[in-house]
Amino acid sequence: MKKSRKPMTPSRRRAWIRFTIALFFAVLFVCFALFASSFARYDPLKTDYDNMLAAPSSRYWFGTDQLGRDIFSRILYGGKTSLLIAFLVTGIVATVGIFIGTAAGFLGGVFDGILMRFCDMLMAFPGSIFTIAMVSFIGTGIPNLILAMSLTSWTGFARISRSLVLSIKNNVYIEQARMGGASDWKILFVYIIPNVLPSLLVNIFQSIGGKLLTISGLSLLGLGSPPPTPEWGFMLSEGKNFMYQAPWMLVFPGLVILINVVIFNLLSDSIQDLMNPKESTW
Amino acid sequence: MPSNEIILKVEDVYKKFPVKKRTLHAVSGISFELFRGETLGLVGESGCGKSTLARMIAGSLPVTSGTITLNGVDYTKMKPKEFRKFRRNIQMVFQDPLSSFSPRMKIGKYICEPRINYDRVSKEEAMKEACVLLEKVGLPADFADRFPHELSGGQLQRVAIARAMAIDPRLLICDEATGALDVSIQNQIAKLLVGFIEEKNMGCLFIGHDLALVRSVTQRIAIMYLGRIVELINSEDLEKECAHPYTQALLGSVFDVYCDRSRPIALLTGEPPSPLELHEGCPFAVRCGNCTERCTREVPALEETAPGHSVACFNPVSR
Amino acid sequence: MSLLEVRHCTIRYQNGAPAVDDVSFNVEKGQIVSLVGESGSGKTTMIRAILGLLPPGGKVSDGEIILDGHDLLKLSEHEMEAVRGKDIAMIFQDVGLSMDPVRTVKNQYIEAIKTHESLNRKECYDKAVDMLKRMHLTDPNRVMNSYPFELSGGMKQRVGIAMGMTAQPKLLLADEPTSALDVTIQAQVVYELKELRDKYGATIILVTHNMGVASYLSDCIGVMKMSKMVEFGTRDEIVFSPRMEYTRDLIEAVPKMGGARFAK
Repeated sequence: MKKSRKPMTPSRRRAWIRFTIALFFAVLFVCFALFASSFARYDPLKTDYDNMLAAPSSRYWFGTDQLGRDIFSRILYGGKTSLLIAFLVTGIVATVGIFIGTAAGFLGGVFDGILMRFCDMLMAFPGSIFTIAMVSFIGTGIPNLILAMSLTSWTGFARISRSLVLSIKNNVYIEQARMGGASDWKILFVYIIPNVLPSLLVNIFQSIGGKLLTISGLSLLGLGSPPPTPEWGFMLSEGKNFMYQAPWMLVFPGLVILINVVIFNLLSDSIQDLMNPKESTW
Repeated sequence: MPSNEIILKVEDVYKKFPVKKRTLHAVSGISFELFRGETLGLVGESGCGKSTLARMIAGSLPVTSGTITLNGVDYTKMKPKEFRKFRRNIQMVFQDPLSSFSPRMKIGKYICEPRINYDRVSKEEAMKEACVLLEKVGLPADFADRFPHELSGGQLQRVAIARAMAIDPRLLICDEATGALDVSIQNQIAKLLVGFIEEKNMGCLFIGHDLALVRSVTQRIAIMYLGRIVELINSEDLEKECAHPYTQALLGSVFDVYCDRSRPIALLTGEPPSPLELHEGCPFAVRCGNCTERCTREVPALEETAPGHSVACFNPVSR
Repeated sequence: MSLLEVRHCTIRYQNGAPAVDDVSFNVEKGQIVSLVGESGSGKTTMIRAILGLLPPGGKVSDGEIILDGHDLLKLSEHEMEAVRGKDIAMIFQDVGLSMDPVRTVKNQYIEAIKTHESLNRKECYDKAVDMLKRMHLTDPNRVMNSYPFELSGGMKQRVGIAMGMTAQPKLLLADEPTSALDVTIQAQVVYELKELRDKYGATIILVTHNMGVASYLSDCIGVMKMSKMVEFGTRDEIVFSPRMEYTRDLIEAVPKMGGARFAK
């Protein structure tokens, strides 16, 4: 069947190119993290006392740390921890936030009022400080870290999805659907959520980048994953003690964090451009 | 042809919206009857309450007071669960074609929805019917696989009609269904609608602002002004018999293609009063040329002056 | 010499198929000329090109648009700015949307006058009130102190026409000025446009899909279909003896008060 597609405008083509590049690198880094063991040249925990604080060389590409551990391998394994936490937290936060936000927007009334006031309350605290306080209260460790980060940041998703639902709820096609005999559940799952989700993709990818930064920040403060588990922020925190003798301990993990945050922000940014309804082809 | 069987009966319906301690009187005491096989036009300017009335008849908006009965069943006080089953009897076609379609739902599924929801037919069965319906409204069956934005405005209105027809409603409400379309397309859709109404012998409420078009597809026309029906008249007699000064002003504002260019424009002075601050007396009094002292005190009731012709005016224009 | 001559004008978006294809017509001084046609026929693009305000990506790829002997297409963007508002003014379908919602009519109106004339605030205000009175707005001072949302559609449209006419432009372009209005309000706006021409000698190009309005107001009518001008002639030629089948169909399709009825 012939589809009537509008010709692609230059700005749209650029957005597609950015999207493809960002997606390629995102997938690449996720693969590195997932298959760290096949890419790593050494065991990330193996110490080599003959090569402590060694500069980058053909043997140790990114150099070694104060215990002679290979930084390249640690970065690969560290990705496993950092990206895993970022994805998990975003997943939890998005699911919970979207569910609560859509329910509040769709049902309205008292339920909506109570939920949104609760969100306001949580949002009144500065996010990162709240997370730090929470982690120090319930203790460090990856599960606690995930819990603390999730508890403090689902409100953003709840707010956005609620307002998206509100803007769709009064559309003529919802009235049309009711006339066609659709039940509340059907309206929610067939008519509202499919029209809300694409707009939230932007926020989801942006959130992954943000979470990577939060994790690194927390690890830097010693509130992240416990040693010796390799983790980017924690590596940064260790590196700062040897800033002058072994700058590579700081530079490489820092670069990796930077690149990953940029990639996920670029991804969300290009998705936003692609979904701009004025230029949309779907 | 309309029969004598009353299909829809609207009795003394009011709709008031609270607006910041004040009350907006959207619909004030409307009563009329609609016969089986008849198309009744509802004409008036924006803000006159015609869309509010349509949404109350469609059951999307509760009435403040009054009753609306379809085939003798008053559905204004039904329980939500009961009403959901009853709702199949009334279907609606809206003005803006694109906004009445979910952007991510294919045309085929859109037409199937009512049959699946009300009659629990299987998806395959419903899809087969949808293709037949598409051809009946003059579209290729493979449109079922398309998304709404891939169709033109006129095609979308055909699809909307097909969906309404899928479950054989007793009453079809067209809210400016042809308002957003080009004239040539407008006529095609109007013909299609008239054909269906005759074939299915149902009732139709046709809301519009283009007098000439409404006149061409209806048997009777109700003229609304500020929440009231001011005149109810047979479409054929509209130009010759109309007696309400507002109806005359509306007719005077229509520019015919073959009009006499030297004819001065009969202007209606002023703006309609705000429905928030209704003054005493006839709502049209402040703009009316025939206004007398009585008009500013009392509201004229809609009274039958001749068979099939009712006017709400103390000083109707005589001929 | 005609006030405006459009010669073999072709307009394209992004080098695609032309949105306006080889269109030519003349507008004499003191005439009302209507461009009619269905949506997407290129009539709005045509008058936007005259104003030099095509949407992004749009470009006149061929032809000439000559106003009073000067080819507007050869002017620089800076020179064109001087022409807009002074020589050519435009009224939009929904004037409300082209006004700043958070400023009063007074502020916007005075600012508009000041860009073309060196008058002080008081003089500008008086001039504005005078123009609003000419548009038969009963309480011009109240209108001046209102925000756009406080005015009804018909009032906004008349304010728009008044603002457009203040600098006494040679040419007034009206893009569907009555389409968003109710019939009785539409009649008021049509009345104002007619009076502008009869009383003040304004030259107007009207873009509309309402054949009735075009027929009542115009001296000449151009019928557009799919980017092309299929027929251009005097009002009587187009309405009573159209030469092209498309024009005939278009006029035929307009619902008429005494016309045939579909319903039995």
